[in-house]
Amino acid sequence: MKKAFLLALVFCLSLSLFAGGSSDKKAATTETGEVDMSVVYKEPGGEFILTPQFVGYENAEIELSWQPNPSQSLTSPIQARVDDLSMKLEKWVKAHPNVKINIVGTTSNINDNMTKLRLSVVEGGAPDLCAVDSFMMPLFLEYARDVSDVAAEKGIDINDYFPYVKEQVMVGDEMRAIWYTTDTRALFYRKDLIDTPPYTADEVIEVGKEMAAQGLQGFLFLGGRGEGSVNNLWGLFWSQGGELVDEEGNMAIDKEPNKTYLINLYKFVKRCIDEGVTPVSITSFARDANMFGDAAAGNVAMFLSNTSAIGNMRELIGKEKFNELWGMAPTPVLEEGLTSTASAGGWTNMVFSQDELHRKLAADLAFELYSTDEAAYSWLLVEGSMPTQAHQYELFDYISSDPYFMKNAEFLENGSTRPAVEIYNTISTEAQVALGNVITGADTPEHAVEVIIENVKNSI
Amino acid sequence: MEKGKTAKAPSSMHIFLKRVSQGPAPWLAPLVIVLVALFILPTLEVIRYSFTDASLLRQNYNYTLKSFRVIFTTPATYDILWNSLVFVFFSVVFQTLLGLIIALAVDKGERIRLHGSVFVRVVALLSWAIPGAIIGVVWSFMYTEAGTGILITILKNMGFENVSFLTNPDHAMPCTIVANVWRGTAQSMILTYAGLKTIPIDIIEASQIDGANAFQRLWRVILPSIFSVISTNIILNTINTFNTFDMIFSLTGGGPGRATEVLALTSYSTIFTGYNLGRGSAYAVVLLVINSLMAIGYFAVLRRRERN
Repeated sequence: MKKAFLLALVFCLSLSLFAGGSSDKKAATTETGEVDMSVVYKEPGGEFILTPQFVGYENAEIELSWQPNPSQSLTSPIQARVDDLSMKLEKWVKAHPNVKINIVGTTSNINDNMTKLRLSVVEGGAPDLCAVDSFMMPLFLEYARDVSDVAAEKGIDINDYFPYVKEQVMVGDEMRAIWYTTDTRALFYRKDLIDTPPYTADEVIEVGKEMAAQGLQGFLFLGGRGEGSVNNLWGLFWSQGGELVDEEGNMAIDKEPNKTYLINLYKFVKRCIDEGVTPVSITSFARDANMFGDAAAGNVAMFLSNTSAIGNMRELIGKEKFNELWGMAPTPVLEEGLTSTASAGGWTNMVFSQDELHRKLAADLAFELYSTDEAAYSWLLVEGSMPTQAHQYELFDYISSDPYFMKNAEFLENGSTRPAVEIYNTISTEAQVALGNVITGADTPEHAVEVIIENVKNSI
Repeated sequence: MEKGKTAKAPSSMHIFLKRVSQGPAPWLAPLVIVLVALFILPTLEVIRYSFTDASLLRQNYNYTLKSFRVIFTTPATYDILWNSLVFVFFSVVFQTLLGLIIALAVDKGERIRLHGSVFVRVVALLSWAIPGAIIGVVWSFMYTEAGTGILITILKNMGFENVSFLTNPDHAMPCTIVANVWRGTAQSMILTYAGLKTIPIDIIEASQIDGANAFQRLWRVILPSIFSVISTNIILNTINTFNTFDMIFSLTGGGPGRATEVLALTSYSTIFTGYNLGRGSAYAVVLLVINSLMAIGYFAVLRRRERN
């Protein structure tokens, strides 16, 4: 008897393991094969809940999972971002009452998050909607679902996106990612001290020396171990015509003229240090924010940074003072006659749900949170970042009336992106090591580039 | 036994189960299951991956020795190994010494009923409770060479000019070791303190009566009495320090250049930045071998000591 009872208990427990999943509804299709959306609008009952982990009515039948970028979610430390998202999420859920959103939390270590997400995407267990770093986005394209039908419903024109965005998010006619914020790199300079911002390397050195003579740090850039350091400088390599990898995704810096172009970049770095324009202490700068303190304190004449510096510096010293003191110019080039370019980045949303109903809902949510004109207007305002759709620069009053943002749009026309291939990260890590060695004088530009090539070759 | 009924002979299975239930197996089973599931299997997986060319970006992989070949033919590996050894040696030496000094001070304070002994113990333990990544950030503020830097301002006021910390490859490692010593001293202190509490007061008093001075008491009585505690402390510190990467990751990222890059950091960044699961695992296996050798050495010393 006892044995039978135990067996029954084990059987029930085993059943409960399988039955313990969600009562989540999958796509119901109409006679014409289209997704039946009526289930979404059913009143589910229960209380409406909005927390950083869950949004929706308790008894809603459809579960949508969403993994946002932590700083662009309800866990952001910036209250304005939380308020904006809370308002939009509540509105969206109330318009789709039978849908509840489970928010998947992650740490702020982006590299880590993206790597783990890649693994779960490959294994088929990724959330329905995920924020993906634009740099990593191409690695997810083959698994992402097409959202062009939802984009069309929302009145979004793919041709309105910047060329570098369109090039990367489209696979044939399919839109596989929704690139919703962007940034680029620029030279920030003290316009009360510098009449004409330098454009070439020689001009940077000349102006930097003048500024150093006045007791300022002439020209700062990132020199620490971190992706930001090389990412900010790649523009000076690309503007010469340099390529990090070839069309097959193999290393290209071991071939001429790319090798010489890379040596030129490190020679410029060395010149900045040797001429006293840049302090060696930049080897401890791995993030743009490391430069902002000194810049805000008035100790810096020029710095090369991500354009997020506009928002950050305005927070530090106030918008008026920033506008009065700081100008923004294109990333310098190494020789006269070259066209400036810089690395463009930002964040994208990607839909991984295999279920048709969930795909449509996830894409709709992504557009309504960050990308439609109304959503982008409030989001970009609180985040201080740039739109990816050209018409929004004219449409949004706070952008069209801001010369910094409008300049940004100009820079983005010539924006470039890092190659999203496996070997890039090895090149980047070795380039960061070389940068530190050149800055500290532990290595020459020529030898540092040889070491990069050797170590990357070894790693293949 | 009731009349008319014959005793049924127990089956061999029944005997076996009875023997098992009376032995240590049921008591050990939970621990063995946890160890195998959470420690042995993941470790074996890492070892298996180290013999592959697995990448986080691909599903297929082949078995190969390439990862180990690349590791041992890349000159940078020897710099990283050297960095690891320097980092571990000096960290462990100073953590153990400072831990001993603080533990002796706290113990003495308690014996003479000095106010604040418990407070000192708690404060010393605080650094142990702070995550390594936070310690890295805190020390990066300390070492900032801009005008806002804490140490640089103090040193400037003392008349030292052009001081560099993390930006000079020659200074970066000593600075990193200082931060790690600050972090790890608490563990040494608490273990040594626990060891000191086990020494009977009579022994120390007897040595005092015999005329032993403070140094002789420490060298001849206290240290031999807590030898096993100190050796446990040293091996734990050594393994912990070899495995440290979080603090270095947030303090220097391994730079400038490779001046502060250690094995654990290389393993982490090879997997999570370079997506190279095979090679990152191979670095982890090298680390595992080093740690295992340390542990074996420790047990050998301890056993010899016990025999003597």
